[in-house]
Amino acid sequence: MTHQITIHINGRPHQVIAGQSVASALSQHAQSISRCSPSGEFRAALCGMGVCQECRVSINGLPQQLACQTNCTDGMRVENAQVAAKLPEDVSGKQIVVHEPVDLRYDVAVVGAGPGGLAASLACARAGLSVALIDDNPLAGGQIWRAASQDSEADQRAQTTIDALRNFASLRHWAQHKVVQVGDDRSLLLQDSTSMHRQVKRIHYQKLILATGARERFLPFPGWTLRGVTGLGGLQAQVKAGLSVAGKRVVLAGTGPLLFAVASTLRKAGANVMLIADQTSRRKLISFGASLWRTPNKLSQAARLLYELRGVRYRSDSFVLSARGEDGQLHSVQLQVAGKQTEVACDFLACAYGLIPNTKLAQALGCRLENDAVVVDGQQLTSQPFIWCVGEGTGVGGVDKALLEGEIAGLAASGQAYVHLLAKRQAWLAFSQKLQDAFVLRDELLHLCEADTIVCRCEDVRWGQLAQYDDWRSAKLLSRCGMGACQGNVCGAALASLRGWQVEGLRDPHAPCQIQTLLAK
Amino acid sequence: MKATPLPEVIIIGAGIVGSACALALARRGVQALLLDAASHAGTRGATVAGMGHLVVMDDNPAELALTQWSCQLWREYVQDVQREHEYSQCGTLWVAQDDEEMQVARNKQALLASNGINSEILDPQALYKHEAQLAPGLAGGLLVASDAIVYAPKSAFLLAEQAKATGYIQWRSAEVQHIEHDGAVRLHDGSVLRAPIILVANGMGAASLLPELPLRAKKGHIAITDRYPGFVRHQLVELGYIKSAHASDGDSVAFNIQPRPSGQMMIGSSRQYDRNDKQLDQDILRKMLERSAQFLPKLPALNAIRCWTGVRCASRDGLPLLGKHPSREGMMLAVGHEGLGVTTALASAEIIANQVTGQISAIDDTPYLPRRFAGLAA
Repeated sequence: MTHQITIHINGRPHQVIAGQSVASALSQHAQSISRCSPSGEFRAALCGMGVCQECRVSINGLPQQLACQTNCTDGMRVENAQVAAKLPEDVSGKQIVVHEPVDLRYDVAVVGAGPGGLAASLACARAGLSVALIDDNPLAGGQIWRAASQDSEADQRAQTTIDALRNFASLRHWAQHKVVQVGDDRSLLLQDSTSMHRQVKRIHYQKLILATGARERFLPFPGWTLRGVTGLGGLQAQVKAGLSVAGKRVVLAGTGPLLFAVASTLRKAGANVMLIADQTSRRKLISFGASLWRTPNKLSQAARLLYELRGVRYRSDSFVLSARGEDGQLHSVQLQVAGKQTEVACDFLACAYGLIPNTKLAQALGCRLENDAVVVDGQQLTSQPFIWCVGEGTGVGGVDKALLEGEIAGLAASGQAYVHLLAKRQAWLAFSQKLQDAFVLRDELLHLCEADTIVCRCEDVRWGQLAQYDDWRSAKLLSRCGMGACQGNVCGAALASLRGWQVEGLRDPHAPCQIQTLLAK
Repeated sequence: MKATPLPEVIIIGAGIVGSACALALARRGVQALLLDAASHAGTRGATVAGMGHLVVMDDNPAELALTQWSCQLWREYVQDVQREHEYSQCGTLWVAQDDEEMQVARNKQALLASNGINSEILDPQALYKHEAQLAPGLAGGLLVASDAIVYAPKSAFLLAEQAKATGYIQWRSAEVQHIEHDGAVRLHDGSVLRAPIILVANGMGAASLLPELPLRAKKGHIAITDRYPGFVRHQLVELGYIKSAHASDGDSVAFNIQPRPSGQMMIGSSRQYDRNDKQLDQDILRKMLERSAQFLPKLPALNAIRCWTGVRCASRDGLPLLGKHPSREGMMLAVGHEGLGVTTALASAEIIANQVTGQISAIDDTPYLPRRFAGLAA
C-alpha cells in the first residue's frame, strides 16, 4: 500500500510516498542535493545509514538533520544547501521545550535491531525478561533485513523473527533512538529522532547486548565527493528507503559478496547495472568459491545470486580509479578492468571496500578490542561481565553468524543453555575468516588519491594537506581532518588503511545529538 | 651539513606559551631547543582544549596590563595571516542579567576607558540588536569590540614553525621525565640534556617536574556544535563569570560561548578544582549546557558533535609565573596562565625573552616574577 503525501522542498510542493526517506525525495526532486561542504560543493548522501552525515538538511526549520534517517511526513518542509535555512526557526511558534527525561528500566538492553540484535532480544524475551531493543533506523532488520516486509523475496527469517518478537509485551522496540551517552550506572541516554519535539529517554539495564553491526569502508579516490557516488550498501539502503533507480545506469565497485547482493537489489528495482568491478583477484575468488561447499546455504545463496545476475558484466581484478562529473553530479567512472583502463558513463557509482565493525559504544563501555573488533568469549561475553557483543562487532561475518551469536548471547544473558550452538558458531567463524582472507584489499587502492583529493568530506581536508603529519592527532588538530560532524567515522577508517593511523580520542556524544538530549538529568 | 650549535635555552613544552617563547627568543638571536612530547607543536595540553579567546581581563592591574599588551601583540602578529590562525575579531559581549551586573559593566567600561580601551554599554534594545538569540529579560551588556579569537593549536604550531625557520630554534619530540637538581633534563629515553637556561613552559606538566610550584589544576569542559553560522556573532560571556571564575573552591559553571569562523559554536565553561584527569563529567557538562540554555533558549535544539575536557594550570594568585625560579640555578618559569594562556602567550614570551637577554619589557614585569611566592625560596 502506498499513499501519496506532499512535502515542500525549498518551498515547492512535491508528491512523495509516505514513509520514503527525505534523502530519496531529494534525489527525485532536488538533484540529490543536501548540504554544502566548507569548500562549496553541493553534496548528497553517501552511506545511507546515518554514518557519514553528508545528507544533513533543514527539516521543518531545524537545520543539520539527517535526510537518510528521516521519513517524509505530510506537510514536511525541507531545505537543502540551495536555500540553506541556517538558523533554527521556532517550529511550533512555542519555545523549544526541554523535556524532563523519562527513566525506563529493563532487564536487558539490546543496541541494534539487525539480525543479531533481534535474535538476542527474542531469546531474552522468551526467558521472560523485559527487553529494550534500541535502534536508530525507522524499521527493524538492520541494514541487511531493512524493509524486508516490503520485499516478497527477502530472507524469510527476517519476518519470522520480527513477527515472533511482536508476541512479547515485555519487549519494546525503540526505533529511531540513538545512544548518545553511556552512564557509569548501567544506563544509556537516548535521543529520540521520531518527532521534532524529542522526548529524552534514559534506559537503565541489568545486562547489555551490543549488536551495533558494521559500516562500510570508504577509500577516497578523485571524484568520490560527486553526487551520484554512494556506498555499496549505501545505495542499497537508499533504494530500500525509496530511492528510485529505475532505468538508471549503475556501476558497482568494491569487494566481496556484498557486490552481488546489491546488484540483485538494484536489478529488481529496475536499474541498469553496467558493470560490477570486484577488486578481488580471480585466483582468490576461485579458491573462495571452492571453499563454499563447506557452508551449504552460502553455496545456494551464491548460485541464486549468480542466476539472478546472468547477463551482468562482472569483472574481477577491477577497481575504480576516479569519477568525473559536471556541476557536482557524476557522469562517468574511470576504472581499471583486468589490467586495462576504461571509462563507463553512469548515473550512480556505488563503491565501498568491505565492512568495519562499529565498536564505538563497546569502547566507551570499556570493552576490550583486538584488531578493531570486540573481544568475546564462548558465550559472546565481552571483557565487561554484564556486556555481550554479537554479530559484526565481534568481526565481520554476515547474517548467519550474527543470528547465531545473537541467540547465544540472548540465551547466556537470560541464564539458558547455549552450548548446543557452539559447534555451529565455529563453522561461521571459519567462514568469517575465509571472507577476510579472500577479500584483502589490493595495494593499488591505497594509491588513488591525488594531492587535491578530499579525504575528510566533512571539513574538505585534502590528501596533500595530510602529507606533513604522521599521526591522527596532529592531523586532526592542525588540518581539521576528522573534526566534522561524522567525527572521523569515514576519514578515520580510510586513513587507518591509507596511513596506518589509529583514531583516538573517543568522546561524548557518540553521535551528533541535540544539546537538549545532553541536558537530561 | 653545518654543526648544530649548543642551545642556550631548553624550552620544555611547545604549547602556545612555549612556542611563543621560542619565537621571541629566536627574534633576539638566542639559540634554543624546543621540546615537546607531541610530534607537532600545539597538539597537546591546555592549548588544544581551550577556546582561544583573546580577551582583556581586568580583575587587577597586573592582569589588565598583561592581557592588554598581549592582545595588542596578537593584533600585530596576525595582521597579514589572520586566516591561518583562524583569527576573528568577534569582540567580547559581556552580558548583564540584572542592574547589579549592569553596574559591574559600567565600572568595567570606566576602567577599560582609563586604560585606553574602547567599549560600549548596550541597553537591552541594543543587546538584542547585536544578539537576537539571547533570552528575553536581560539587563544589557558591555561590548569590547577589540577582543578576538584564534585557533590556538594552529597558532602554537605556526609560532613554532616560524621560530624553527629562523634557524635559531631546534625542535625535538621527546618527553621530559625528570629535571635533576643540577638542572639536567632527563628524557624518557634516558638521555640527558643540559643548557645554561631551562625554561619550563609545560603547564600542569610543570607541577610534576617541579612539585614546589604553587600550581593548581582547574579542569574545564567544552562542547562544540555543528555549523550554525550567525546564531551568535560575538563571544558571549556572562558578567557573573567573574564571580564564578574566582570562587575559591567547589565546581562552578558560567555562560561563555564562542562563534567559530566555521559557523560552529564552542560552549563553555566549567571549573573543577584539583582535577587533573581528562574524564568527561556528565553532570557538570549538563550544568554547563543548562547555563548556556538559560541565556540562549534555542540552543537545546542545535546539535552538539563533540565534548571534551582540558586542565587549566592556575597559580595560587591567578597571575602567571614569568621569570627566574628563585631557588633553582638556571631555571626559568612560564607557567600558571590558567584560562589566559592563549591571550597572554605573546606578552609572556616577550617578558621571558627580555629577561633572558637583559632587556626591559614594555610593561613592568615585577607582578609576574616567581619570587613573589615565598615557598619557592631556597
